[in-house]
Amino acid sequence: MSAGKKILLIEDEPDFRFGVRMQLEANGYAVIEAEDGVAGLDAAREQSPDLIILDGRLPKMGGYEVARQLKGNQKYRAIPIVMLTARSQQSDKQTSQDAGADAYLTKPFDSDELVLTISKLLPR
Amino acid sequence: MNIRKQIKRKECGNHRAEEELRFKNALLSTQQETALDGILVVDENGGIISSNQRFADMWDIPSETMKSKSDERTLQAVMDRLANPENFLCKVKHLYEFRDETSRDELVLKDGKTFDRYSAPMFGANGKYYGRVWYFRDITESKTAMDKIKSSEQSLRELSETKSQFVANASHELRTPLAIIRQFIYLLDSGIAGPLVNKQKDCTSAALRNCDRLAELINRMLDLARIEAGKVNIDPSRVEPSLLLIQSYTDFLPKMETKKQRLILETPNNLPAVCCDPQTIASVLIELLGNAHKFTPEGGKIILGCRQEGQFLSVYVEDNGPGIPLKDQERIFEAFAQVDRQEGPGAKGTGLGLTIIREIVKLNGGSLSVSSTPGNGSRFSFTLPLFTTEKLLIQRVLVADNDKKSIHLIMQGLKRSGLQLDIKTASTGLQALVIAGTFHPHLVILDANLPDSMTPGVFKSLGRETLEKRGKVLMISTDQRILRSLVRQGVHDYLVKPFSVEQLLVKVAHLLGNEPNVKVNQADPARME
Repeated sequence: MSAGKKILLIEDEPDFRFGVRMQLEANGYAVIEAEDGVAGLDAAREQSPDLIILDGRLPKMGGYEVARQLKGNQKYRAIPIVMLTARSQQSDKQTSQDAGADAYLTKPFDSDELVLTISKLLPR
Repeated sequence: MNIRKQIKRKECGNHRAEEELRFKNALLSTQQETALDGILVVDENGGIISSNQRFADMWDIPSETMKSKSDERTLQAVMDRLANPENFLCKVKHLYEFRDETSRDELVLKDGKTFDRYSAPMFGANGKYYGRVWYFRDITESKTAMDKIKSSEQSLRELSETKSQFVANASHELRTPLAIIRQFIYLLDSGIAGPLVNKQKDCTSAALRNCDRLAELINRMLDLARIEAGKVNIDPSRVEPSLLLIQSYTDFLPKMETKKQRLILETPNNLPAVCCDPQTIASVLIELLGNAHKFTPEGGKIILGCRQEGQFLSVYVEDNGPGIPLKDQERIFEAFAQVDRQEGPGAKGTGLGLTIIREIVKLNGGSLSVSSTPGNGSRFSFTLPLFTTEKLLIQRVLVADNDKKSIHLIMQGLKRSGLQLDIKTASTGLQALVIAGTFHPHLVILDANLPDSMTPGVFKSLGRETLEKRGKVLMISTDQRILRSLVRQGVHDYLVKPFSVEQLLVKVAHLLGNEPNVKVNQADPARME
């Protein structure tokens, strides 16, 4: 198990946060949550997570903008980001990559794939 | 013969001639009065020779004005009703100057009516100019009907866009709750939320399967909406047919094995390359092979192949499954068509697959069709255009020159260019302008020495008309000085007469954005004067 690995989940849907948290904790990760872009950016800066799961569409500051800011900063650039998008378009991949995300999943996604993606980005 | 008899005979002859004249007059005036058009005949100085009642009615000209036959008062009455009398006057003046021209245009009246105006010169058998005939026809009704059709076309387009946008938004909004539902069923199904007994596990796995089915349906609806809204980018390139097929073939082999189906690849050697977007065509093949796999019973045979058919490559997926009844063969391409087809076990389709791939094939320049004999399998095939290096685009060229010999030589030259050209000719600048208005030429070859081409208005309008449509203007003249000054006024290039066919072709090819495929041969005998 990956004890101590901390994942920041930035997502505005409480139910979704709850569901993903349950799955991640079952897989041995510690989870911290933020419900909008601004709070997410603060949490990323202050709580030094090992990985960030970031929804593309968020209140106050969009997910892509959060990614751009973190990836544009030397201090936080190394934190892997998994983008969650609600559109299945080729442009999702491009937009996610442009924003600097390390991986992206389109909602609804296969939950096993989420854990697989995380474990690839967080070698144990 | 005595004098009396001679006189009598002459009187008889006169009488006959008079009778003939009376008959012709009656015929003419009946023709004129029964015509649907308003008709006005004027002499070479613009004086009124005759007009019909319809003319007076259309223009609301008082009967005393008509009786007076005063051209000034008649003209004033006409001008009073026009929305733009200056343009009208300008055209009239022009036609008195250039007697042998005919013209046709539309006049808009202050009250919103539209008249079609046609004018032709009147020449006698000996070539003598007698004046001009003007015809006016009220086309307000057909014009209004046309406007109505155009505006309903516009609102249909808008409606279709709204629909596509709605589907795009809806599919986006549906994803979030679906993702949440799927996540919680997963938490149950995986045992994370607690252990499940077998019956409960059956329930959760069925729920998960159908979440995925709903997600796929949402994806397909979005795909179709994007195709309909013209938002799908097709990126065509030169593709080898065998490479196009072999990838899908190898991807599907293991899947076919699960139903003990034989998948056969039929690609003849030496097939010409096709022009298509390989990514979107791959999705078409996946759909067709997936359907064949689904509808063909265990142990069946499926063939993926292609062959050349004229200027196209035909790609086909053939199976020996149950086939499709004739009445359903066209309907299966409709979105969500309810067709009795035995899918066998496993997930149901979305009902959108064939609709989408038919559109994709269309975007790639081909067409998708099906042929099937119930009980004897189905064959889906689509065409793709062969790759060609030639520019197949037809380009429009307008040649304006008043010298027939010169036009002939230019035409001969253009025909040798090897380009696909649609060529129209004009002998005056004004005529060129009228043609350019509907023809939208890619290139205008304009003689600077036309009787009217240098009339500043005509030149400017022709230039603007052409440039607005991103066309090019090539001026030709014997006077190099004039040509140089024209280049400063926006003409793209010029040629000094006499020039050779090759010189012309180099300029034409360059202006039309093609590399010339003739070499300049200085010794060419065909020089244009």
